[in-house]
Amino acid sequence: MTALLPPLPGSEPLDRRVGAAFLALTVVLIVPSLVGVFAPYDQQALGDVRDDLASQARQVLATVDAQDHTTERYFSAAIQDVGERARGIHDELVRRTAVTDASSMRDSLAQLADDLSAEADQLSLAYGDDAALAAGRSRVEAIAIELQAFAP
Amino acid sequence: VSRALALTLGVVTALGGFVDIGELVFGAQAGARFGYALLWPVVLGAVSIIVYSEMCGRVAIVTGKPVFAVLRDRLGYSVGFSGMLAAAAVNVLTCTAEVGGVAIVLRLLTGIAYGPLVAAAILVLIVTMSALRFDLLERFFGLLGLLMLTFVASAVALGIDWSALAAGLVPRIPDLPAGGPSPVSFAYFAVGLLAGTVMPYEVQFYSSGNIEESKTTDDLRENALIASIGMSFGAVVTIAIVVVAAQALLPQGITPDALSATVLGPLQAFGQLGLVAALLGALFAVGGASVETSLAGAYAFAQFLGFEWGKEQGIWRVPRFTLSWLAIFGLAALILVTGVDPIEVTEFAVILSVVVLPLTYLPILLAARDRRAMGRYRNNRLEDALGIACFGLILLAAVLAVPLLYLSRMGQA
Repeated sequence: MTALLPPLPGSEPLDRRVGAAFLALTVVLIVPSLVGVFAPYDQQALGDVRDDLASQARQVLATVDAQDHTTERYFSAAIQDVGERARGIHDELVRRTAVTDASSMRDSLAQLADDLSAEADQLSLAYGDDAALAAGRSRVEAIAIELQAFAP
Repeated sequence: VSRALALTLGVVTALGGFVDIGELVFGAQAGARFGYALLWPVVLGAVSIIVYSEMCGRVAIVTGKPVFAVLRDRLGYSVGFSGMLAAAAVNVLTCTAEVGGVAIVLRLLTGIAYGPLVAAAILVLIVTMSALRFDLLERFFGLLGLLMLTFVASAVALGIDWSALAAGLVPRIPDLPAGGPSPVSFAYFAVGLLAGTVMPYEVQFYSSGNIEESKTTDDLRENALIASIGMSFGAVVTIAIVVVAAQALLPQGITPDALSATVLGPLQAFGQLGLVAALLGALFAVGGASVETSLAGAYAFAQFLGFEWGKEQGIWRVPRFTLSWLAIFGLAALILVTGVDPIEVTEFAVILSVVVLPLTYLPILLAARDRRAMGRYRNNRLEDALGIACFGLILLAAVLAVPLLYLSRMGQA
């Protein structure tokens, strides 16, 4: 394929000092995000996870409340996606270690993430089924309240 | 009449094409966390993108040189190459976020699984880009992107708090409630909103577009009007996204980390019609931005390295250019296949873009001020002052962006 292509007229040797500075800057920008991925959970990080889960639970409640005005496809996809994200959070909570004084909180949050994921999966199939929606809604509301009360 | 029509089409296209996933994500999150308090970064960003779009468009028309040819001229090969590489990386990340956004919106519209929709979205975008001429491509997405005006209508229907809106346009840090988001998060979202409005691919695309459309110095007035009017209206849409989130999501305690939450406002305002219109608007806005980012990346390679380029040339006469934009879509697909969340990619892309931005803006400013290159079309005093002030602002945002990203834990603090 390259034989079919014209040569690159504009390339020149790269100044190594500029290249080294560019690489160094790239490393400085990227390394902190890698540290964050591998660091064990502390109270603060778990507080962020709690806020995230609580917001997702409230999104499910808002979507269920607006059910009459949504399309079935939007309703199912939006709630199913919350379930998938909650499952992702659960898996991450289980995978990563936590500092000693945060491990019980990590376990509780993992359980709540798992519960939210399961409830969202069920609710995503309940479009038009008022009884199932009401039951599922009250269970998600209970999860949201529990998350809200969860002090890091 | 044809000139007036061209101007109107240009303005409308700029309006419809203004919003991308960066504004959808940061705008909705900022509104849901801070209410109306973060409208001023949108205004500052809009002023900056208007000033630099007009300037890069003028430089391209007068000198025939688009952004990355100017960058090489002004910064030299080695520094310029680093800037081109960094811009390419940001373009790939941005394209990844936009394509992921297209697949998410399609999923919300159709209910089909996300994975196959990523492949379908890329395929449809490639076919559309191959089939349509540059001007048609730009207008197709720009005009259909006007459905984003649903957010403006939703803001009005949900009831705008005009005094809060006026206060939000003035730069200040509001009194933040205890236990709520911190000032560091406020600063992070301020930088994010500014960065989302001035993404580097926008000037790269705009500048190259002027050459693609063979504009001449007779079109300089049209260039200035399209940049200023079209993008000002575009900023109004971004402000509406913030306002809708403030009205619909903040009271319910929802911080939208998914596009499905961003459209809850239009759903609340107009029911199913609002929901579908907002989703379609987002689809074409984000789809258009996917096209623009892939082309902007290809323009950058071609213009810097000096090989033949141009969407107007068709796909076979400029093979390296065609392979470049196809490769950007390919890399985006590879990143999305890993299962990464496009919304998180968006946040990184937006924040990293502002770090790269001074390298794109500085050569434009230097070229536009150069009497030898620009002759009587060089910057006047007002343009110079605005250009330097906006560059200073971007430089400040570039320095603060990454520290704020980590200190605020991506806005969670």
